[in-house]
Amino acid sequence: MTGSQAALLELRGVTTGYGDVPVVRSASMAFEKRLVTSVIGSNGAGKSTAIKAAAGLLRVWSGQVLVSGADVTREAPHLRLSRGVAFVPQGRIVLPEMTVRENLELGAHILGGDRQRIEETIERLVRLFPVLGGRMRQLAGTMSGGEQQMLAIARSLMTGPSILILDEPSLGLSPKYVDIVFEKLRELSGTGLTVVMVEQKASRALSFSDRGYVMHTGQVVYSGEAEALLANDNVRRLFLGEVPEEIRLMVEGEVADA
Amino acid sequence: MKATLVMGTACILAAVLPFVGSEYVLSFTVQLYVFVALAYSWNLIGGYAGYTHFGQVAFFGVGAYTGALMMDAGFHWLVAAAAAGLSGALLALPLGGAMLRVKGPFFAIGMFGMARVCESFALGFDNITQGGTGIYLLPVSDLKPLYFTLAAIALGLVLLTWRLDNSRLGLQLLAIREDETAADALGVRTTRLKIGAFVVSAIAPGAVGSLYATYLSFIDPMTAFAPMTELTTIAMVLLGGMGTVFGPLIGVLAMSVVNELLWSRFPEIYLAIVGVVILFVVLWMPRGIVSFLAHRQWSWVPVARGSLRRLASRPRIAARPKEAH
Repeated sequence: MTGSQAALLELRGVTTGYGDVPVVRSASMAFEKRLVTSVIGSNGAGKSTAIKAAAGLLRVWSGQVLVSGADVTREAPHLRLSRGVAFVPQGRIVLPEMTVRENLELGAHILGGDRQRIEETIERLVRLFPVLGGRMRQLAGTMSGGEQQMLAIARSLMTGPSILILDEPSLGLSPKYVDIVFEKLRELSGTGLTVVMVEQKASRALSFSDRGYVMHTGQVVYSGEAEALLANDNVRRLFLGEVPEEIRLMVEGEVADA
Repeated sequence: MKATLVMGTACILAAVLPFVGSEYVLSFTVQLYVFVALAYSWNLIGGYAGYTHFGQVAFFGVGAYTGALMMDAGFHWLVAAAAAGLSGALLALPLGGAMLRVKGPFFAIGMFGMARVCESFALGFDNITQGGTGIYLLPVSDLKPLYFTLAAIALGLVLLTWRLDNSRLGLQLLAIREDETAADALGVRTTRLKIGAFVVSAIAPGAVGSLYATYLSFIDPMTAFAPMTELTTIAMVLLGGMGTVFGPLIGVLAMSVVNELLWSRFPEIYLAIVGVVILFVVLWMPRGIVSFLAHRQWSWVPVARGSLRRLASRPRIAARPKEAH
């Protein structure tokens, strides 16, 4: 395990799934402060399932989830949110019939009725996301997919989290906007946020990340610096849809260091 | 402003109606209020929280029986109605805890099944409920107190919905409707909130069930748990606009008037005509009359929701997200 001391969010041997089918099998991952970490892997590798367990949206069968060292394995999502773990789900998740402002306010509901604080947070977020400025009264459903993703990210920042987990933020976006979103996530990590994203667009995501985890059939098969993963031949072949013999053997064995 | 004027006028009309209207108008309005109460309660869980279901009549029926049995035991009809409202909530609490784990058709049909279970209880426990014979009550001599009680419940529910629509609680319910996982991720306490909404949505149907029994001075399982009551309520909400403040009211008004006109003229085929009317409404205004009117900027129609008003200023925008640019 690398740097579990500095890890803000950690999965320790987490096994979970749907019904009685295990999708993630004893996966361990550590997400360190101020870094962008990508969790990559092919379809059905268990990436989304693993981070849903981290956000508390899925019950963990065995293993532990830790936030700043505290065991939160059995905590409900709203409690994890108050510990600073924010989650941006996959797909279209803004409320299309509501304005940009209402969407943002919804993100802050957990803070209670402090209007002053909400206004200040919205102002701060508009500086971070200029695309939202001046569109406060626009209906969220009338914005482009990329703008909606920006709104979803901004909304999850309303509570001032320290960890932002994103499930496929690039889904359905044009290549240009994918880069804009990834660039924004880098910028956010520069302001002190820990960013964790699950991505299908593996090499694109890794090129914007500090670290990465590669999952295959529910297990973590590689972890390390993003650059090293990008240079790893087995990982590259995995992106192309092949399953190298080494990885096939690995899912039974230990995590390799890239 | 115009909308406030319309609502104010309606309230004044409702207040003087019992003193000037005929017996027929009075009983028509009493039934109208019953449906307003049912429609707004259903709108809360079906329209706002997105948990549509076919089992509301269970609370109506249980309320009717609770109230009837209490009146039979000598309690005042107002006390009976309050107890009936409570019985609705008490039934909804465990039911919600068990049933709200499932969504969509499973919840909708499951609740329909619950209503049938309640109905067969009413039929089966005939030493308490008199079974299919039904319970006969002393008729009330004056309809006016009953009229005003029902009017108060109806108005209260409209105001409650208006307040909810402009609150953060309403936003949270809408978030559950749109995407429960996203709502969870935003820290909305979805389980607590939807069970809460479900319980609240069962209070008025319970109370109104008892008041309806008072109005009829009779209750039997067929009347108390009539699927027609359920379907009419849902059709009214759909017609007016689900998850809106004034949709249910407009739906109840429109459908009651159409029903009444058709029923007296074409008694044999009126239900078929009502069905055709609903079909056309669903095809042409799938989001209900209120949204339809809001798009056409009929500002005298109260729509309340701020975003709907903004929606009105940009006619015919697509609700779906466009492709990324």
